[in-house]
Amino acid sequence: MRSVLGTLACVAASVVLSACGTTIDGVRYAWPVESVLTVGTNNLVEDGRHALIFSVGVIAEKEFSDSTSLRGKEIRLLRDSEGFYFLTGKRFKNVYVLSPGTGTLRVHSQIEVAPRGLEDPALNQRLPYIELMDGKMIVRLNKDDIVEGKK
Amino acid sequence: MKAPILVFLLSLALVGSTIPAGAQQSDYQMKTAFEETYKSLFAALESSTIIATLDSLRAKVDTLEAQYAPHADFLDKAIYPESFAERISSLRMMHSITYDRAYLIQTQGVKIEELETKILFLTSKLDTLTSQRNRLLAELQEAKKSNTQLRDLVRRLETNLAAKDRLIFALVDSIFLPYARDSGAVTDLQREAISRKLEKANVLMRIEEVAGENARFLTVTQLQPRDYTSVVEQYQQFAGRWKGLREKLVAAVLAGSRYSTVAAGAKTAKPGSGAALPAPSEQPAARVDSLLGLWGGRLQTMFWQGVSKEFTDKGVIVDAFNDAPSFSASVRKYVASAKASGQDPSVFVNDIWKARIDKEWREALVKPAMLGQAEYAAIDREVSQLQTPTLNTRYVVYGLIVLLLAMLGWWFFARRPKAPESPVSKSSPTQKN
Repeated sequence: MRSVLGTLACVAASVVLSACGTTIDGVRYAWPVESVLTVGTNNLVEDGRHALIFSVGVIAEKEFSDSTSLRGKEIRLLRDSEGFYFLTGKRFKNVYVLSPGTGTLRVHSQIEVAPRGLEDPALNQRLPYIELMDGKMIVRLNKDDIVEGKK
Repeated sequence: MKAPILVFLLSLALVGSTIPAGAQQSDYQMKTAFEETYKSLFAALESSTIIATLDSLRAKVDTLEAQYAPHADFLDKAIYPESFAERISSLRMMHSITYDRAYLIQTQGVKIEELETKILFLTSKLDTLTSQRNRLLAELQEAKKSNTQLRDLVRRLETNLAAKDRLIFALVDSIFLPYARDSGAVTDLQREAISRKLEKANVLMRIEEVAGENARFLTVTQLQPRDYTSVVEQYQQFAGRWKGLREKLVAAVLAGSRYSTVAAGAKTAKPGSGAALPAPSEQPAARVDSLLGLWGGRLQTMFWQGVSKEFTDKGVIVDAFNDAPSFSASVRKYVASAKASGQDPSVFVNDIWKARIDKEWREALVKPAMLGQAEYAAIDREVSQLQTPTLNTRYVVYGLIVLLLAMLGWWFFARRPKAPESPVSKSSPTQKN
C-alpha cells in the first residue's frame, strides 16, 4: 500500500515538474530594422517602438572608460532572431551582444569590429545574422563573433 | 506662381535625394528616406492648387512606388502598423482629393467669382440693414413721437427685419448654389469650401443675430392685430428655412472645423478635454434654435394676449387661453354655454367675433403657426350658429317682388275686360216666343 502511494506521488510530482519546464521552440525575436536611440542625460535610452528602456552607462564605461561619454550621443540597437541585442555606435570599436535576463541585460560578448573606431555604422537584419555596415566595410555577425567579411 | 514652382522643385529634390545609393544604404536609412519622401510628397499634394503641379506630383508618387516596391516586405515590417501599400494609397487618395478641389476651382472659377461678388454685396447690404435697424430701434425706444410716426417706425423696422431675413437666406443659397442640391452628394472637399465661405460671410452668427433681433423686436413694439399677419408669416418662413438648412450648415461647418483641426495637428489636443462640451459647430446652431424658440414663444404669448384682450375689453368672460388649442376650447365652451342658457350672444357674435376677430385677427389666426384655416372655419361656423335669426332685407325684397308679380298677374288675368259674347248666347228667351 505504501509503495502504491509513493508511486502516485512520484507521478504527480513529475507531471508538475514537467509542466513548469515547458518550453516554446522556434521563437523569432528579430526586429526588422535597427533602432537609433539618443542617450539621455540620465544615461538611459528609450525605444518607444519596442517599449524598452535601459542604461548604457556600463557599455560607455567598457568602451570609452567613461560612463557618461555617451550622453547626448546616438547608439544603434538591433535584436537578432535568437533574442540577443546588438549594440554599437559612432567611435565604437566593438559591437556589444547583450542577452536579456529577468530585469537585466548581460554582456554576452564583445566583438571587436574596428580597432580605430566606427565612423558611421548601421546594423541590418540579415537572417540568421546581423550585418554591420560602416562605409565600405560590411561584416556579418552572430552572437559570438564575425562570421562573414573582414574588419 | 512662385509657390507651386517651389513646391515642385522641393518635391523633386526630396525624391531625388532619397534614391538608395546602391548596396551601401542601410535598412534604417531606407526606412527613413521612404518616410521623409512620403511626408514631403503628402504635404506638397495637400497644399497644391495647380493641376499641372498635381500631374507632376503624381509622377513622383509613381516613381516612389516603383523605387520602393522591391523593398515592400521590409517596409511593411519597418513602418508597421502601416504598410507600404497603404502609404502609397494614401498619397494617391490625397492626390485625387486635391485634384478634385483644384479642378473645381479652375472650372467653376468664373461662376464662383460671380457668386462671391453677390455674397459680398449681400453681406454689405446686411450690414447696412443692421445699422438702419439699430437706428430705428433707438428711435422706437425713445418713444417721443406721435402715434402715426410710431406706427410708421414699427412698419419700417418690420420691413427692415423681413429684408434681413430674406437676405441672409439668399446669402446662404448663394453659398450652397455651386454645389449639389442633395447634401448627401456634397463631397468633403466641397463641404470645406462651403464652410470657408460660411465662415467668411459670418453666416451662422448673422442668422443668430436675425433671430435675436426678431425676438427683441416683439418686446419693444406694440403690434396692432393686422401687424401680426406679417410677423407670423415672417416667423413661419424663417423657422421653415432654418429647419431646412440647419443640418446642411452644421455639416458644412463641421467639415471645416475637422479640416482645420487636421491641418493644425492634434498637438494641442488633450485626452478627455472638453468631452462634455457640444461640438463647436453645434454651438451657434443650438443658439439659433434657442433664439428661434424665444422668438416663437414671445410671438405666441403676445398674439394670444392681444386676442384675449378683445374679449375682456367688451366685458365678455371666456376661459383664459394662451395658445391655439386653449383658444378653440375656450370659444367652443362659451358658444355651448350661450346656447344652453339662451343668453343674448349679440355682443360676443357681433361686437367681438365679427367686428374684431373676423375682421382684424382672421388673417393671422388662419396661419398654420397659429390656429390654421380649417380650425378657424370650424369655430366660425359654430359661432355663426349662435346668431339669432333676423329678417334678412334681401329676402324681404325678394318677397315683395314675388308679391308684386302675383298682384300684377291677378290684375292681368282676373280684371282683364271679357271678350264680347256670341249672338246665340245673347238671344233672350222672349225672342223665341
